Amino acid sequence: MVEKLKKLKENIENQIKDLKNKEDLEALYKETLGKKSDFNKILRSLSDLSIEEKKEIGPIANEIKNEINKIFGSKRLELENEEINIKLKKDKIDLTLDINKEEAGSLNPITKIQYELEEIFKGMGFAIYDGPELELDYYNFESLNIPKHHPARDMQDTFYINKEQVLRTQTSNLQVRAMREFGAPLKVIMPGKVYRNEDLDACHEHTFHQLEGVVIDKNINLSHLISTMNLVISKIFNREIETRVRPGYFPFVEPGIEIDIKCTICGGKGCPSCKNTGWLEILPGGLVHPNVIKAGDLDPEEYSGFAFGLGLTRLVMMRYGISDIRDFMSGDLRFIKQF
Amino acid sequence: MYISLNKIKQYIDIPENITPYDIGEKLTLHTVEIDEMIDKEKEFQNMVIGRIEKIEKHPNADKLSVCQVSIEKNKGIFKKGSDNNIQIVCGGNNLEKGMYVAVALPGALVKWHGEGDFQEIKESKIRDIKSFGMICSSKEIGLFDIFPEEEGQILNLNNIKKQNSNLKINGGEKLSEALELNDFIYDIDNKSITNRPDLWSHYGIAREISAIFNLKIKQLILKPFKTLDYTQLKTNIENDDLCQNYTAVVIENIELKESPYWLKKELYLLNQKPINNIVDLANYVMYETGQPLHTFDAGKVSNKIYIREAKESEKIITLDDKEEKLDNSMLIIADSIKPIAIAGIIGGKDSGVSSYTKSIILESANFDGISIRKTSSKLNTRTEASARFEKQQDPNLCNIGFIRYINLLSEISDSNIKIQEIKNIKNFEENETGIIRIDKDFINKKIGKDFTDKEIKNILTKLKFEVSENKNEYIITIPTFRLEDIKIKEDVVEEIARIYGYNNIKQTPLYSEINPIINNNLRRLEKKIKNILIGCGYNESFSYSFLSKKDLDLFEIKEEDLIKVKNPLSKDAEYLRDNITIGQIKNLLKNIKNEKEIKLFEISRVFDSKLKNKYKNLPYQNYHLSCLNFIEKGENNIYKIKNILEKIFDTEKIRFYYQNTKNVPNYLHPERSIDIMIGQNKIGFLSEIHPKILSKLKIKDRVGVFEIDFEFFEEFSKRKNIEYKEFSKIQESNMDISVVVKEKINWQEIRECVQKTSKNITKIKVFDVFKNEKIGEDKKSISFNMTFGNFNKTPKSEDIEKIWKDVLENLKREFDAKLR
Ligand SMILES: [Zn+2]
Repeated sequence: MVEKLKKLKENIENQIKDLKNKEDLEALYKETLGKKSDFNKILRSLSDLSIEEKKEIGPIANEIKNEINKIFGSKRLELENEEINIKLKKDKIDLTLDINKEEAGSLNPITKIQYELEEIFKGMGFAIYDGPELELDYYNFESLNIPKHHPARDMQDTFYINKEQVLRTQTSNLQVRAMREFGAPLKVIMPGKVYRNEDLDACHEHTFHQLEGVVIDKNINLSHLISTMNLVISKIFNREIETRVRPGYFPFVEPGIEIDIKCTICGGKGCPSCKNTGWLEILPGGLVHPNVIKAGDLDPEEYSGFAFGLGLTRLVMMRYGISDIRDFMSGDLRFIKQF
Repeated sequence: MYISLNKIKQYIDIPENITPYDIGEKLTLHTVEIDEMIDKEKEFQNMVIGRIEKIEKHPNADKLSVCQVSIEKNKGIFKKGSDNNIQIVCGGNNLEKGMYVAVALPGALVKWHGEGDFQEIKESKIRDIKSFGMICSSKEIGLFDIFPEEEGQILNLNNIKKQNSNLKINGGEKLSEALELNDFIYDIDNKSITNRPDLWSHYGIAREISAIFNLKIKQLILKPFKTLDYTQLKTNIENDDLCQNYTAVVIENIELKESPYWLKKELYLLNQKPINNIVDLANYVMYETGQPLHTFDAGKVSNKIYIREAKESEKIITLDDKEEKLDNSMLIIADSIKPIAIAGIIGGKDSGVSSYTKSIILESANFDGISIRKTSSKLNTRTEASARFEKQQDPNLCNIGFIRYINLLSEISDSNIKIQEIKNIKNFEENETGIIRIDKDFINKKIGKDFTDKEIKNILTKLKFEVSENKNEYIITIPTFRLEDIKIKEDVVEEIARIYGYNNIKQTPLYSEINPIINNNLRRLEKKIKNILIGCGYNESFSYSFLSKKDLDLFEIKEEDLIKVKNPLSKDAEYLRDNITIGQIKNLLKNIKNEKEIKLFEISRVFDSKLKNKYKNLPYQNYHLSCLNFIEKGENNIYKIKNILEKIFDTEKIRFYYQNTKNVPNYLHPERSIDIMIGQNKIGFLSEIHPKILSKLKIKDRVGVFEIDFEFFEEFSKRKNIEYKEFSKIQESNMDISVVVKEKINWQEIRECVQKTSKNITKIKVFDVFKNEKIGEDKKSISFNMTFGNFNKTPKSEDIEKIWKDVLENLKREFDAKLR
């Protein structure tokens, strides 16, 4: 009997090998292990045996049955996998295809660099301050130690709205506003749009962007200013960069300085960008003039401070090698989408 | 301003180890900004003096000659001619044997026919004849102002050789050396000396160089001279406060002529055009000392001179042939009849010197800087004189310039000039210095370095300050020529710091208290919204704050609604914009040929004098946000931009509603325009651009825009306090409903009606709207899905049904809606 069962198992093993689909497999299952199957008949005939024989053959028969079940189980799994694989193959698509494509937009590079600088300065403890672009002559000039008919007004061609109101020519207009609003100690930057009454060409724009900074506290000195500016420059360019400091004249600072960096284009050898000097003007600044501190309702005997200005537009032009300043305001997507 | 190094060397002996570039660099680091350093020797490289030895006709060209030119000294280097000479083909029509000429050898830079850029000379063949250089005209080497010559002539140096025995005009000499043009020029940025009247001269710059390099500076040589014991001149200052010093003298027996070579050369090196000896000398002395001088023809001026304010409607024709209308804010020089000069700015044509001039009035004066500046900007006339006067010159300088002029005039005059008695009116204390007292630690505190007494005294003394000490104080005497820019303690600090060298100051990191946090919520929100817009495919496109008259016409905007710019230089900047949308339409236009899908945004200030403003005494200038959407052939551009708008409000959880627009601007579509409202306030609009504007701009498809007051938006985002409510965890369910309503009922009304029916309606979403004949005219069918939630316990189907019925009931009551 055991022999018979083993034979059956072998038969099944042989038949199962060639099966290609689930239906055939289930039909074979029914045929071999179903109620009317030979296997069942043999099992049923066990009842005719003696108890000893039952004890001996019973477990073996069961074991064979389990083995057969296992064979069916693994074949079933194999066929299912095959079926899935066929379906998957049919699912293949071209994922490189563009369907309902939506492009991301871009920020103007000026905004990009402005946000970058804001992060740098925030990390150094500066707050961000904002104020009017259509400004009183007082804040743009008078309070900055530039009275009417001061020669320094020549340096900046101003859009006048009327006698008292101008489009700000510099973000410095916020120095005194910030001092009056927050007092001292003060540590703010003021990025924004400024205007100069100029005709447009590749190098001249009447609208551009600056970032002004002011620090007011007790005992602020030149050494602090130069150190802070060098730190800012190395953060902007993300590396140590050689700088030099020289005198510069701005009526609202005394002393006034200009910080140059080694020309990033020629490395200092001299090129058209640096007018063959090997240096690029980047950061004007100085100790805040006592008259300006006074205008900010603070006592210049008690407080001192420094101020500096960064040309955002210039910085972006330098970083990306943009030669036409008008691109920034052009709205041309072929320009903007690159950033 | 051009500064000649050779001229500086007249005042300072500069050691050989200091190069011209060193001087330029040190001047930059300690005193002024230099725009350019010009090595004149380089400009004249490979140019020599030649002597024409032989002239033959060119065999193949009528107008050309073949010259053999001797350049003796250079023959060893350059052997390509016959004998000692080189062969040059030349077209000059004044060639003569024995003529000394300027020869440009290969490698020299010349301006072809005196025009265009410099080009390098090369060996060449001209009509089959070899030519090893070029015989130059004065134009070709930039010397036309010194040697004006007829067209077609080459530069003949014979005369100059005859007249100036000191010049080494011999064959083979370097041209720059022979003509003493081997100078080094510093082009100083005038802006960087705005605050330094004392630096507008060679002597002033020399003083700085002497301080920087610690070199001795010589005094200007002023020689006494004899005067006659009479004068025909009377002078009278009517405005004492505007004229501190007026010195004038009549000089007789003048011979007006061409300046001597050295004077012309000096002016040429300073980029100035020589005119005649009288005028050239005045200019020369100004560049030397900083004192502007003026000369009148004494024969054309009555004997009495007034320094007075102009009368209203007085006129003068100036030396540059402009008729100027004067007014009583302007200081003038007048004789008894009429104005003869605008004081300190420009002379009158009628009283100027000419070839008939026999005697001159020399004027050396000091005028009030502010007055000069006002007049010069009112007349829009800037001259070398006004540039100096407006910086407020030292009144002690008048005398120096005056004497220098007379000394030099005597030197260059062949005639025996006679100097009448000098008229001098002074309204100032001569040689009065200033005093500044500074606590000793003040300087160190401001610079952040510990200077010793000796260092401080040393620097200040080099700059001609005098320093004495009193306990803990320096007492500093300011020289007269620095009184204008050294007024307070901080000015002295600058002197110490810059001469010591900013780069030598040791850096100290800044540690300061963290100040109370100034929270810039507007900037925070701006960044956030910009990032959302970028995510939605929108591009930040800046546009100008200005509108032009053309824009006003095109977009049908009334001029009186806008703030006007008083002095626009460009026609594009006549008005300040009160919206961004127009700028974005213009930006759209720039891109429409390149792109099928254009999505733009900008956050910028706009200006409006009619609206409430935040800043005292200034017009409204809030930031606006504007977005524009254009898709070629897209019918739903407006709905796409509406989704963006609502997304932005949704991220800030700000609730708003739409309201029909009352006054639609002319550039917006009147039937496709709606206001964006919060409470009772209009915060912006959503609209399409008016079809007639689109057709004017040749835009074929619809354009959707919205613009909101971004600061208003920020106000509401700040005000909005999120109140958290425990939410129901019970499963939500949803149901559709379709109703027919009158067409004019808008979705916003229906949605609100549904919303207020039950607190258990958590979401309402429209999914279908249509019209057809079956429904009836003026009617539309609208289908939407409602989500039910927010329940305390699991709702029974009757509960849901009840809400659904209530919704229908409400819609029936309010809008006469029918279930479809
Ligand atoms: Zn460079």
